[in-house]
Amino acid sequence: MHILIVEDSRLARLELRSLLAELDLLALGLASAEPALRVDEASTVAEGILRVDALRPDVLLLDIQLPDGDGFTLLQKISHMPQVIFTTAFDHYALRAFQVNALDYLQKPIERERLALALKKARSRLPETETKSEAGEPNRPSRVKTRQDQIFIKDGERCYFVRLHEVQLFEVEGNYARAHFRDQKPMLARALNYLEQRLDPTQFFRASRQHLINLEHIQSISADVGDGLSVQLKNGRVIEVSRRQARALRELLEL
Amino acid sequence: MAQRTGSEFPEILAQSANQLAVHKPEPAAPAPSARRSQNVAYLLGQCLFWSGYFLLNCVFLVATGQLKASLVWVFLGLSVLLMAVSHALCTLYRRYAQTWGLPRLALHLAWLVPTSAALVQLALIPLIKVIAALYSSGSVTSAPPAHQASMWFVYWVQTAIILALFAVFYLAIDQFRRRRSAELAHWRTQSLLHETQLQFLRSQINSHFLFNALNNLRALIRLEPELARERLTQLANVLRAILQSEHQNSITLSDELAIVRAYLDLETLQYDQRLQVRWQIDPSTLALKIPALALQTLVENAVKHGIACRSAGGCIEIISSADPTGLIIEVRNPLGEQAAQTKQTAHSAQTAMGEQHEPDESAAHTGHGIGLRNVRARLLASMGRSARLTLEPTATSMRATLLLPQVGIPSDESSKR
Repeated sequence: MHILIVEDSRLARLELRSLLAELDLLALGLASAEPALRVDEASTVAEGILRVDALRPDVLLLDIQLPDGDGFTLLQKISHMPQVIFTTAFDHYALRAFQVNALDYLQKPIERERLALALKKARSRLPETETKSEAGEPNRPSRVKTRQDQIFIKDGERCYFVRLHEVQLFEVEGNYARAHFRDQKPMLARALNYLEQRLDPTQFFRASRQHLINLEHIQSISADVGDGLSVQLKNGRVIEVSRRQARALRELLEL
Repeated sequence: MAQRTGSEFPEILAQSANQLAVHKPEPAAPAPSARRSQNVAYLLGQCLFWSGYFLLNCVFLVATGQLKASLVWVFLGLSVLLMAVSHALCTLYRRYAQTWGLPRLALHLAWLVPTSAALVQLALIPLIKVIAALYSSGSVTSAPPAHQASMWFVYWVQTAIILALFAVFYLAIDQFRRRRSAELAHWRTQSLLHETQLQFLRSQINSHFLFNALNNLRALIRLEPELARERLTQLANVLRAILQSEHQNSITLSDELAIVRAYLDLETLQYDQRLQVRWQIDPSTLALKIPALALQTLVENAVKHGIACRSAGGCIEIISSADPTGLIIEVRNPLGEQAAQTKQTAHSAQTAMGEQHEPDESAAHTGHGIGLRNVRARLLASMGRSARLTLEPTATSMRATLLLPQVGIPSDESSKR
């Protein structure tokens, strides 16, 4: 298990390191191979972003208040999304911002048992397929995200962690895009074209200029006037597919 | 987007600061409803007093067997005139004389009461003539004796006495009412003070500082147990000072400096090299009094806005000096990049409100608000209006100055005498 600590206090980093060293990772089932635990550190948001993308850790132990911004800024700027565990001295108001509780947080001083539990939870959420693609692939920094990948969305005061397979569609709104998942629809500060490039083309399909739909969430497809298609999603939304894209969709879905 | 996220936490702080600000009750200025009921009571009193006088006169007429319609009308006219004059006197009093002492008030009453009584009697003469003319068909025999100079003098004295009586009544009631409202104001101030103290306590225990300190101490225990013990004692001292500050109004600067030093030592655990402190303490100021935790709060603000949000950290300067007017304490700190940005917008808002050198509300945007408000409240409570806190932000730094007038400072001038 590869952990990155992002924390501005030197002593707090040391404390986390020694707590991690004391954990019996094998007994906890957190590691199976010999270099059971790898721990790296960063002390600012800027450094954190660099290290996350370069080292591609499994778990991020992230302090919320950092000298050059906060933990959320970091999460919005990284292209690799590890499992995130927040560490905080007293920021309950910040954590209340979370709508989707797909993360854990630890209050400093951190209890060893709580840390172990949080790591166990993070471990269980790590994609099984990834049997550790050793230290990442630095030569491919913006790899395509797959269905198990988590994305972090911050829309105003609210923060969301969401797995891509949960997202029903992305929809253009102004220069940005709106994500639809469960009953939430927060804004992302990204253009739809950018999202299309970053997402797995076999999972997300550009139905029209306005819509990027998740093929997993298609309920039914019906023929429209001309060569067009109408796609009904599981949430009831009907998206019209342009003629040119209809052909591409047929090809994609054909056996 | 990144800029947006950067400013969101201070916004939350600012919101809570504003909520606190809203709770501040308006001082004095009675509500309009209270004023209206006061006016009603006054008018009622006027009517009662003068109709009572009128009735008394009627009773007198009956008793002396002189009851005649014409005389009743004359006395009614007299009462109405007296009421008008007394109302004029009350208005004069309320406009000009409310703050006068008793001797000055008595002096002015001494000429005002006889003069107004004379005026009333003079105004009564034509009225009597009219009434006499109306009732001339009846008994003209008992013509009003007003023409006789001696009788007129008697009536004048009578009127003056009754007016003086009214004045005494009115002033007595006014005194009573004012004393009661002063008492009310006192209680209101007390509860305000209490509330301020509570707020002070709540915001003073900076939870972020406390838990970070505890966490750092935990790491330090393993590394340097002796230093950890020392820092733990310092933490205890800081906490004790915070908890005691409710009961202490002012302490000596040297006591306050001990707390500030302990606090800064603990913050050094958190910020390491990023936190530098430069002291410039005039030894002659050490024994002077300052409101407990006033400097501490300023230093805490300096750490929050000058160190915590700057990757490179910075240097906090703490300067104390004495001059004939009192003790001057200055805290300077660099400003973080985010703070300097928001300050720009905040500054225009502040000038729009017409406030100078007090970017209080604006500073709340960066979280400066609560602590500084508390410092101001404490300054006012313990040192009165002459104490002063000014903030002078520049593009890259903040300078907070505390001006504390001292009673009986051993300044150079007084020692020469």
